[in-house]
Amino acid sequence: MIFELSTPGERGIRVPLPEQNVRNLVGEGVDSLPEGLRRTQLPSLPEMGQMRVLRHFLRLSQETLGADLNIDIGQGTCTMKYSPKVNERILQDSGLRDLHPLVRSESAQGVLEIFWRLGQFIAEISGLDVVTLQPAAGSAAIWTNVAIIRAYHRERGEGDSRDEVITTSFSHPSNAACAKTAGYRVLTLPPDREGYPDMELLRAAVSHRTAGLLITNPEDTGIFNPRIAEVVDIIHGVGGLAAYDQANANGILGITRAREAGFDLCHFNLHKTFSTPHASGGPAAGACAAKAELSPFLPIPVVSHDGQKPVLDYDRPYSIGKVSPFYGVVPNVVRAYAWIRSLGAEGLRLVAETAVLNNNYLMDRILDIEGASAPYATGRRRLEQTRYSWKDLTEETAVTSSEIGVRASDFAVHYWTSHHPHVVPEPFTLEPTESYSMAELDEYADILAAVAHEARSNPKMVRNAPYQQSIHRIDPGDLDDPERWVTSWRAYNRKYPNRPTGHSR
Amino acid sequence: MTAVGLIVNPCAGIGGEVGLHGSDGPVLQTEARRRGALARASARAEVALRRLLMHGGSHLVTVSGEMGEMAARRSDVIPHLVDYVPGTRTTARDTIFAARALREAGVDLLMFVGGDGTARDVVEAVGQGIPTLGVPAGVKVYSACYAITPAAAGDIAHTFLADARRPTSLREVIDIEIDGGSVGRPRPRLFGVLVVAEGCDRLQARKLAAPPSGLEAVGLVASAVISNIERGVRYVLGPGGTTAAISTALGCRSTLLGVDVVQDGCLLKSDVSERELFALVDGHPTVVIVAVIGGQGFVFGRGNQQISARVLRAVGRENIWLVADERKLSELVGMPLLIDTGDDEVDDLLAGPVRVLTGPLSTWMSRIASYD
Repeated sequence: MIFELSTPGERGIRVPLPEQNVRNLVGEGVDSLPEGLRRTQLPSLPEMGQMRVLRHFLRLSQETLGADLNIDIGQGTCTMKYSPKVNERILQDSGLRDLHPLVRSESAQGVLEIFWRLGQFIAEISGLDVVTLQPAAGSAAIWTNVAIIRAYHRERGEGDSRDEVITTSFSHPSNAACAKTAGYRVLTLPPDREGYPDMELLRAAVSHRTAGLLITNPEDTGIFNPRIAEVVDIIHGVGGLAAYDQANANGILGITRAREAGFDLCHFNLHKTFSTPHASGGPAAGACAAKAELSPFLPIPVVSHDGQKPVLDYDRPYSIGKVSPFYGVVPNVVRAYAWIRSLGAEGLRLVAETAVLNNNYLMDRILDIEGASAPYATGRRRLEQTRYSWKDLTEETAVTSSEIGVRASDFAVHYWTSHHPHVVPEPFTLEPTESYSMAELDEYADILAAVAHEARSNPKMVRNAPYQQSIHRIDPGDLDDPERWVTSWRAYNRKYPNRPTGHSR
Repeated sequence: MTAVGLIVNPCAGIGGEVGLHGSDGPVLQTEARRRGALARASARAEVALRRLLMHGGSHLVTVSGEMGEMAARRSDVIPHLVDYVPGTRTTARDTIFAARALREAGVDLLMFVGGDGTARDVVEAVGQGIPTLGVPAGVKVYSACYAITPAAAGDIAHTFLADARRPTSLREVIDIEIDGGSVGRPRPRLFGVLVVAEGCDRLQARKLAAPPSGLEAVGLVASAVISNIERGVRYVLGPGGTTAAISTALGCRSTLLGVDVVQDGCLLKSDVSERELFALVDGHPTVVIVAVIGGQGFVFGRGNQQISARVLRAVGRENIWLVADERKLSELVGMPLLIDTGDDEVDDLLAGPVRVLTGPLSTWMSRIASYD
């Protein structure tokens, strides 16, 4: 960390003090600050020259395996598609770049028009009636839907009695997490033998206590559930609301919609399906759509239209309130708008078809590798992603999926195995999106085939990998254990007070 | 005509209902009888035999007396007897000699009725020399060489003998060794591998130990249970690490392998027998908390025979809380939860969709299957 590189007294630039007569005239700079805002001691910042700062960050950038550096199809469910650089150019327009969020809406008509239009697009893509672009991430969008479900039942006097939310083990974990955060008890349905949510258990789970359903379709297996409308009907039959997690929408754009399956709500991740970059923990963007009857509960302000111009509508007494500051993540809303405009309706459908074609081509290649399998719905096609298993290879060689993923990084590609709970043993999930060529998919499959071969011929080589990375393996406990993990220098010093630091060396 | 060999370990499972966690060796067996335990292995052997022999086509070869002959006669079968004659109080040596005698007699399948100790004796006697099949009658039964119930064993044996290919698979014999008495941590150990008649999902899996990283998940389960506990209700905690974490969270010192009863934060009685448990729960508001056995999916009938059919009937289906961490349930996806209380009526009563508590505000839907 840069704090460890600190050398006391070293400076990037030295800012000269103002001349004495200027200081006499206006005083010291800090004098103009109210007393309560002044520091009593200097901030603890690293001290180093500019050249070393540049070298440090350039080196860090070389230690990553980002989307612009590798065939980034191993983070299945994340939809790591290409984010066209021209959309970044649009964001450099000073009208956007210099816009302050507190500016009056009359002076921000352009960006509000983009919000309004993107909302219209999302309504059309989902088939639902009203949209909010305020959530700053996919999970924030799921949270928004849960909050709307809660507000809806409260308004009907059933807020306390409906205390259960149903989800499935192959839906995104954020669904269960958001529902729990809202205070709901979550009932998780395991898959049946075909990989679909178990219908008998769904019928046993629903009751007058059911507030709603949060479900992904296709789930992370890549299998589309043709009985999804029946699932929604069962929820409606007991008075619950159904929310569609469309994080996996990249394979169904322009082909099927939330409305046709009967959903009341849905959400999209603009940083997945609509090409705005994943900000690695920074601001992503979510879009929620709902049926008209849920419109009163949307977060404020709603960007609506008075027939002449876009307006900010705060007059919603039943609103769930705000889910993020201001209106949403403007740069990502603009990127998604530009991406949709550049493709048009036919283009969006072509995206879905290409993503599905790419995935099924890749699946043929992967299933040719001895020891790889795609559990559930054997012999059937998948949509835009596939959850595979190395179970057979692991049983034969004792080499695990995560070890194969790490070894693959020596060949400059990777995948992750973060698919908890591990219903599919030794999992890996690949999602090639529409962005990659056949040659790139072949290259990726060839690398996995080579590593699988190596697991049999030289398992030690795989198990001791990586060899070509800037750091070797880390103890997973450093990531999993709240007592051990550190996400900041301050946390590092607090949790590891006896470790040497840059200041003490 | 095919020949089925049968060995009954008459002492198997005798320690279960009286809270002894096992039945191996004369000391435990004498203590079990002193506490009023009844042998149940022979009755379970009869269930398996009737199931097998109703199909016809096989004759039975077994050992005289309570090591097989008596169960056979009570099932209306006249068996061939091998020369080996066991002692009046049978021991592990008798199982070993009987198994060898049956192998010499050329049986096509050796069925043995017992638990993990019996399986250890069988693997010592015959190794992988002959196809075998375990009929579960022991207390915990961690080994993978057993059918899920005695009736399932009868069906597997019939299917196996009717199939000219005689399909088998290699399955583990596992038993535990306990450090520091009944409160110590049990260490499962692999004692060998048997060739077992193929039975697909009618054979039970071996018990999977919880990984060390699972402790946090178990803690989540415990905190979820604690938040639902009410005053005045008796909580029956089954065996295992998950329920032990619940006791610990309540500030009670529980037995890892026994059944404990807790009320209002105090340990009412530790390591109860079936009779003591029934007296505690009958007519009193009670909740039974049992953990799903990892890898196997059993909830009743393995390692917790104290929570007997009549106890479960007295408590009622709605007062049974099943608990497991998500990882354990994930590994069981595609398999139902299993029960083998020995009472078909109670098994049927408990069968069907159930909720399994996995953590605060977290529940997985699952189903209990009864074998018929």
